[in-house]
Amino acid sequence: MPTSPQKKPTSRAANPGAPTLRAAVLDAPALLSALAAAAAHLERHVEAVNALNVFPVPDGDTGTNMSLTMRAALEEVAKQSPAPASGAPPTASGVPAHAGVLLEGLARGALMGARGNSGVILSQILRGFAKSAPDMATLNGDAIAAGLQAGYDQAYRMVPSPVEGTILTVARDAAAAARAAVLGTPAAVFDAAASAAITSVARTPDLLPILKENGVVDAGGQGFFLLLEGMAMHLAGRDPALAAVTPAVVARAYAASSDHDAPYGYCTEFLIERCTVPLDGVRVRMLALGQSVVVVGDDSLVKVHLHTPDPEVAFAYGRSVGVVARAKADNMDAQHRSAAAHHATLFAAGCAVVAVASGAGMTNLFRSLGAAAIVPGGQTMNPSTGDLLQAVLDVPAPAIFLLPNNGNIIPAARQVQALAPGKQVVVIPSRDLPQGVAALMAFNYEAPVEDNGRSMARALAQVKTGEVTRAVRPALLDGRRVAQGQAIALAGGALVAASARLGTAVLALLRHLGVDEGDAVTLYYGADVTAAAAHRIAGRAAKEFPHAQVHIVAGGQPHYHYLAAVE
Amino acid sequence: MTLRIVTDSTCDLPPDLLRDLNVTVVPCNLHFGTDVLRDSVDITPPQFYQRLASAKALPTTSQPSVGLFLETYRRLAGEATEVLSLHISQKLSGTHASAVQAVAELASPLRVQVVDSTQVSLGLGFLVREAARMARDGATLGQAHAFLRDAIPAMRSYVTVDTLGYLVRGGRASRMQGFFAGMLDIKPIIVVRDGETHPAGRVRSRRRAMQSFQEIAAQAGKLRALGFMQAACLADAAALADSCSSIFPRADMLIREFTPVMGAHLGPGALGMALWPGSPP
Repeated sequence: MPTSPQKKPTSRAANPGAPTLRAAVLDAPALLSALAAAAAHLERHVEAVNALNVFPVPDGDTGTNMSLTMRAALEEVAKQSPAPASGAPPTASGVPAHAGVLLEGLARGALMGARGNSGVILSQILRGFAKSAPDMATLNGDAIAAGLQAGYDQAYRMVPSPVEGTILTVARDAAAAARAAVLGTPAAVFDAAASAAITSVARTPDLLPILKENGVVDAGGQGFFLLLEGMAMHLAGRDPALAAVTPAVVARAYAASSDHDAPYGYCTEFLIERCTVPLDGVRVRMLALGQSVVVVGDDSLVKVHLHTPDPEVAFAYGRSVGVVARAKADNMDAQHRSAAAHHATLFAAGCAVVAVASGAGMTNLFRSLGAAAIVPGGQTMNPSTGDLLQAVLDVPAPAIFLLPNNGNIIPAARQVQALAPGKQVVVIPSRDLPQGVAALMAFNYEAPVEDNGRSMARALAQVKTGEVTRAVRPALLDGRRVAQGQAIALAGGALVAASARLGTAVLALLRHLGVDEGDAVTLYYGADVTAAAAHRIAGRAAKEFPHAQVHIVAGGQPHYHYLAAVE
Repeated sequence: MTLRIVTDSTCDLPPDLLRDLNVTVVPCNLHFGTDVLRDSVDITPPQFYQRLASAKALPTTSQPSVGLFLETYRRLAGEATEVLSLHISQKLSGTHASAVQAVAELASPLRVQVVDSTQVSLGLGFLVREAARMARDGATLGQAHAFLRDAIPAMRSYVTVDTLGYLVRGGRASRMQGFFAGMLDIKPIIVVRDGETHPAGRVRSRRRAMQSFQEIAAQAGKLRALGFMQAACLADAAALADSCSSIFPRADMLIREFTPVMGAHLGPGALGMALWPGSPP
């Protein structure tokens, strides 16, 4: 007698007697340990998920981004204050006893910690789930299915142009399967969702041609499946090792890894009496020394505030142009939160730019062009929404232009817009560093927000950019086979040329971008390129395009041997 | 009642015009080491750029002394009853302060009004020229002052430099900004309005800086006067003037060289433009 291929929720359970398996509802502690298990499950497969990236250059690191987003969510719950507004009493461990409150904390943590495209989508799924169950102390199968559906709906609305064959498709299929299993236990609902998710993941290459060309499935979808599978396995009591991972351990691991914050240095303040230099002169000098620069006052008295690693240099400058009074420098690691509130009161009005950049040359260039703060990050280190938000809040200007300088960071940057109360945050969607440079060139800290937004967007549209790197793995890209180690030129994400030699790829890229008479061609060479090699290639470019100006800059950026801009 | 106009050497008006209109020019000072030279008196612009090229240390500048103003006003007391002393923006130079100090110490029936032009170079020069014409035609200090109150806020001047090096040494730009500006051929465009310098844009290449100037002029609507200033780059100023003359066939146009004191701050290759919006009289 043929057996039905239909999935039986309990069929995968190794231990049918596990109490959670038969539990009709999930309370907060059970939900939290299941989520922690799911996060650990994803974390153990991070490298496998990262390897699914289809681009022949290190791209976004989907697995890492999703894993860090989950960690941030759990970390938020671990540090949540014991008495939430809803009045639900905390448990002995400090974990909220109320599932709705727990979900709310998770969603908030994920939102702040979201990294990369996939991390942002995951954070939206959690947010939608949380919004569907704000007053539920426990979750039954029905609530879980509704939550998965609400999560998908929320994520779908958030993505500007949703693409099929991605995590969105997988989340939709998983939610549909969960709703079909609503009468089951929570374990059964998650099991149904996970089963549907892996089937959906397997289908992604049929929906997204680039996946098929490279013989992989969608990385974000795979990551989401792993989370659902981790939930289902844990609730089924199938992996005691997973169950042993408590949220406290996850929280500790996160705290240990969050030491990457750039140092804030000293919050430095002083007065210059009888200043002989105009305010602008003092301001530009202070901008060269540090961040969060505020210079206010008049001819007789200038008040200076900045964050700098070396306050003495600032004081010495003050003494060279006037009489320094009431100088103080406080180490900010202890008190950077109160300092942020402090500048807000000092600062009158105006615009500032926060940019994401990596590489010493690029960082200095953005700073010299007037970026008030630089968030370290780029192609393989997408800063989180929280990192970007912190930088936005630290810069004491009411209007902030965010330059993500990478396509994968744009979604996280857009999240910041809704999270910075009292600030106007405008995302200028720069997809690479040279676009960011062009936009920043058009920035004028004195101009109104609208004018700046317009001129920065126009500058961005007028520059033609591309990059040259070496393929880290063989790949099929735009119908062409690229060998590992080959120099490849990309423009707008599309393959332009592949060659054994970097110089050949650079020149092919410039020809593709099109260099007209009078254009400025800028080559930013990366950390892996010597100045001599860059000069040789620039020389060839100058010879081929004699009516253009060719400039070379030591960008020091990782991954990309050359970034090119034609304007 | 005789009104006379006093200004300083940063007004960049032609010497014969100043002579014809009976304008007294108080020179600022240029310091090459221990050498103190009176701006455009002891040193001409061509001599200045020649000396600049071989100077070990860059020159500095200073405002005219209170004593020099005092001496000037006392001398004028013999031939005029009123003096309008119109100067470079007091936020950019101590010249105005020196003049005010001199007036406080001037024990004389001469009425002296010190006015901050909030401008530099021909932005100041156009105001001086008009005030001097009014004085020549018999205007009183009150009438000239009233005219300036209306004219000053509208005046704009723009400057672009060929190298940020001089602004870096003067503390108006950071070393890092100078470094990248050189590397990327970034030309800043600076506007002088309300007495202060403000950023007005950044472009790549001199050619685009000149295009920006032309666009700025074209967007200004009607112009009463249009001035171009240059520091050892006459050809660029002439080309710019040429491209603007078709847009403003009726505007009064002047091409001048930056005085050495201005050149010391901006460096050779600096190009300036002064716009006086309004209908030609």
